Amino acid sequence: MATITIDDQQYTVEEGRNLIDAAADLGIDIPHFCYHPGLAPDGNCRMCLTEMEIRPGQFGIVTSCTIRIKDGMNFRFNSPAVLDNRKGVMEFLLINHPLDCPWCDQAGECKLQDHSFDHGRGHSRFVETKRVPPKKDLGPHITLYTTRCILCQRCTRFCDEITGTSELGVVQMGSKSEIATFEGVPLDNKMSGNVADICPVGALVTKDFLYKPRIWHYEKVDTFCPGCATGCNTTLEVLHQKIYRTKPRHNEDVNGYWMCDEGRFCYHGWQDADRLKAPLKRVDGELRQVTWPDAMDAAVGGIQAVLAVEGEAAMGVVGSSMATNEENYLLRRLGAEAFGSPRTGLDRKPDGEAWTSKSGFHIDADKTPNTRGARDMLGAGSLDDILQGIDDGSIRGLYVLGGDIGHTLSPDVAEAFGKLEFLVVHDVHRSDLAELADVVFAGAIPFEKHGTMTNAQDRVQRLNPAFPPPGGAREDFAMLRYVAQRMGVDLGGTDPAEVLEEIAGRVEGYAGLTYDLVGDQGVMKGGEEPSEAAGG
Amino acid sequence: MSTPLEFTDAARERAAEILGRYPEEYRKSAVVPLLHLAQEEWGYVSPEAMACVASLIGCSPVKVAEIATFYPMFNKEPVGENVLAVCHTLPCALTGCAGVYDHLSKKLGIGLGETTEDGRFTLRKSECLAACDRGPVLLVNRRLHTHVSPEKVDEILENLDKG
Repeated sequence: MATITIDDQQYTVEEGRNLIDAAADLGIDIPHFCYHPGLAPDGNCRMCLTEMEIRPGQFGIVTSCTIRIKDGMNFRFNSPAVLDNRKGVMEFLLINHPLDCPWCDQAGECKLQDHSFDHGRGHSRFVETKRVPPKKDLGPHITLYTTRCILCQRCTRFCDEITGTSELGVVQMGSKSEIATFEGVPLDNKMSGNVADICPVGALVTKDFLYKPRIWHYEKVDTFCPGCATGCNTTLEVLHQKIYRTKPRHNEDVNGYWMCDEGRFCYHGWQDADRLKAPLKRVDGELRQVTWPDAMDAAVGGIQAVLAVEGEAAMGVVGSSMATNEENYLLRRLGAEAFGSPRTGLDRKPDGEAWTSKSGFHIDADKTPNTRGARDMLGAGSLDDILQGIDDGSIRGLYVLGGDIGHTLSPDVAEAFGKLEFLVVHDVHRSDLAELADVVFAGAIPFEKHGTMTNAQDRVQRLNPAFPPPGGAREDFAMLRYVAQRMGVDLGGTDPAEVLEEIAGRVEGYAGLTYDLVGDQGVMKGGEEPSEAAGG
Repeated sequence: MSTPLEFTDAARERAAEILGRYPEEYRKSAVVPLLHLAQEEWGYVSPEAMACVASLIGCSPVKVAEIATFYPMFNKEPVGENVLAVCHTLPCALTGCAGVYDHLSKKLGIGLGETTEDGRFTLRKSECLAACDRGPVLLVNRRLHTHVSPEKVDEILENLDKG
């Protein structure tokens, strides 16, 4: 630790930390543009200038982002020289900046707007004509509004330091300088969307979030990405039951400040899917929409018929890596207590491509969010036992959680499921799995669920819903409890928090976990430290 | 971009020599001398030439474009045999560079950045050439002429003609 002086007040801060971060820890905001905590300091924007005592009694102007705290340092944050310099820097930055805030997508979350308001002059002495370079299409996801750029180079440094792909550079000289890509080498990498997040102004925007409602209209929901087993922490921006944007939420142990493009834009696939809005029941060989009581009667009747004729253990359960820990846990209890069957399975989606960035940001090969958790809850990691049971005739009925819009059954699984006498399925659309079922419960997508999931690092994280399931669809959690109840079994906990407490007492590795403890940053299973620092 | 450019064998050897001057982890330091080499080779630095330099260094081509576009003495377009650059920064402006530029423009019949039809001359304005005490100055290819005037410019061009 080091003792430093800021404006004649003494503070104790961490030695070696840079001044912007150290001041932020103390609740003091030093305005800056080019510095980003996820990138190396660059000191180019000159906005974070403060005064530091460089010789006894003599102060000099320094860039806060490049200053590493040492014991005894003495700073002035609000001296006339500092305030004047800030005003000057703001005036320079605004020379060519257009006054297009009323139609700029960044308005409301724009550093230039904020700092201009707090530290600017309010008027410009620049009477010459502003430069109006045309906007540029940088790549599949990103557009550059060249006029708005203040050349802080966060984007170029992101591509150099984090992805290592270096597609962006600053070309030309002086007032003609511009961010550019090289002819034929567009900004096209797996994490390109992040440059729009870190752009402090409205210069870099994602094509996905152009001309959308103003940012202050959105409800912000802290959750995590269901796109792969990394589970990047995210904030969803939601308006009128619709997600408009996903932004990464800082979690040093999972994703740092970043997320991948696939995850960022995956909400479209989920939200635009042709969803089941009511349960389905097979009538004369065809699936028809029915009411919930009707579907429930059909499901319970069918299960009881299988159990009565074929005996206990003739019903198996298959969990889902798209379902929460609590849902998979309740499913297992439903199987064990209501069906008298300990036979569980998990239908694994085939692995996709894994990728690790230069900085260590990791995209997992498992494109589902909760394989670890589902395994822990079900005590099963594959479908082998279930398939064998169907093959040898010991399993005659199944209760299956589906819910992955991107998953199709492999031919042998489809064939096996086709042989069943009775199949109950939870799903979110008319998947090939739903098509085989006798009763389909209309369930929820990860953006509509409460509960926890366990990522590939064994980190338990909390899912929060952006909106309720559409129409007559329901959270799978509630349906599982209801089916159990109809079969004379009380599954206890009425919400995921209560079920997690029960899991904590019964499932190995989850001891001591509570909803509060998991919080918004997640917690490692078994209270361990993360095995490797991810984040990057 | 059209077809990729490749250095000739002789230029390749020189490129290897240039790269050899810098430690392996600072290969990017060779970008300016390699761009000069490219300009000697092809007369100007096209995007294809930048890509060629980038592949020699092993960096992203935009990093070469950053340098090549920063320095005005790297020609980004084809130029004439002789490049004339009149300094138009303040001290030269005060000592009469406008007259020199206008004279050259009229004499050669070309405007800013243009090349004569016979391909002999390209006319440019330049930023400060670091000889403010001897303005106005004119850069002819790599040679700096100081205290130039319309008359002196005629003489310089004649001497160029003589070869």
